[in-house]
Amino acid sequence: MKTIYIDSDHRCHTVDDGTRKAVETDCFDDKCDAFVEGHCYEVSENGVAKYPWKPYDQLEAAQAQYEAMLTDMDQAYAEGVANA
Amino acid sequence: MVFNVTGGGGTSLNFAVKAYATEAELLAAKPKENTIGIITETPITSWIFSATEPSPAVPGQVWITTGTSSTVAFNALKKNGILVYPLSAKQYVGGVWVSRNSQIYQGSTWKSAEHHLPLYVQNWAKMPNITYAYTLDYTDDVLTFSASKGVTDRVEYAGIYFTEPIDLTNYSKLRITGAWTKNATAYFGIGLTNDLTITQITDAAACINWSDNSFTGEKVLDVRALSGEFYLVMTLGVGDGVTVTAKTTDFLFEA
Repeated sequence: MKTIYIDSDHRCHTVDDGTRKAVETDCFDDKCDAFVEGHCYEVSENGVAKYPWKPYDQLEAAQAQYEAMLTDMDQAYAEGVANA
Repeated sequence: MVFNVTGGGGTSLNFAVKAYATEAELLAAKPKENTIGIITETPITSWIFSATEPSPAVPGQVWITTGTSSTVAFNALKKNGILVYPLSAKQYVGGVWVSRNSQIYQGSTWKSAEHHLPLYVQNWAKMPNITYAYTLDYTDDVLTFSASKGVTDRVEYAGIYFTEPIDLTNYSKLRITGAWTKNATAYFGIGLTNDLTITQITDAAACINWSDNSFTGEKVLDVRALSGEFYLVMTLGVGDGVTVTAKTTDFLFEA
């Protein structure tokens, strides 16, 4: 679960500027900030909707870059431990 | 089919392109048949029909996107048939293509391009990783997707997807009409994904999920930021001793 902050346009943020509504959700577990902030999260009589407002292919690219960075960091750590 | 002309059209053309400042102004107008009304305050310098992004782009130009089918198709010429399949409109403003609300005047009324999904059972398949048992039936124009479970210690999820992916590039909304019923704890989900290996509906690119008591009506999902091909997915989550049924009468993709 992650806390995200929703503005008046239902757009997601990873920090609160004092005007946003805090929401706990597992929709964005393991997602980078750029991915989260390119989405809307809307609670209404329709149910709970999650949808991108930035081009989705750009968000996927940002997430892929984030996951590659994590992989590199894990590998570097493992090598550091092995060489210690 | 690509036309690139300046102005509203010539005498041999069976359509026109016209700007309206507001939707109210458009709806009040009664122009000639096949007039494409573009809601914009930016002067239209030219217009072009194309399935792909025009290049080079011209400031003020309106790009009417076309597909291989459209609910508002028309003959472009007064003589001979050149069928045009319009879907949506964009205008080149400030160096980018900006989506414009648009409608076409046909049969004395304004209409939008839209796509209704055929609901037949054979168009659906089980999600590879959302695999609880379900039943699926199509009778009297209603697709009935149902699952039930006895008493166990967890919620189980059934998932199906429409086997033909849908190109969402020119659509802005998915409107689902139906009736969803349950007798206890249950979860409904509808989403669009480009990854059929997802294990839950919230991993879809866009989704809506709810756990209301029985509901009849419409659910609407914003798909403006999705381009390219996506699969439509439905999921049902069933708790102990639950029977849950989703009766869908329409999946409507709107431009």
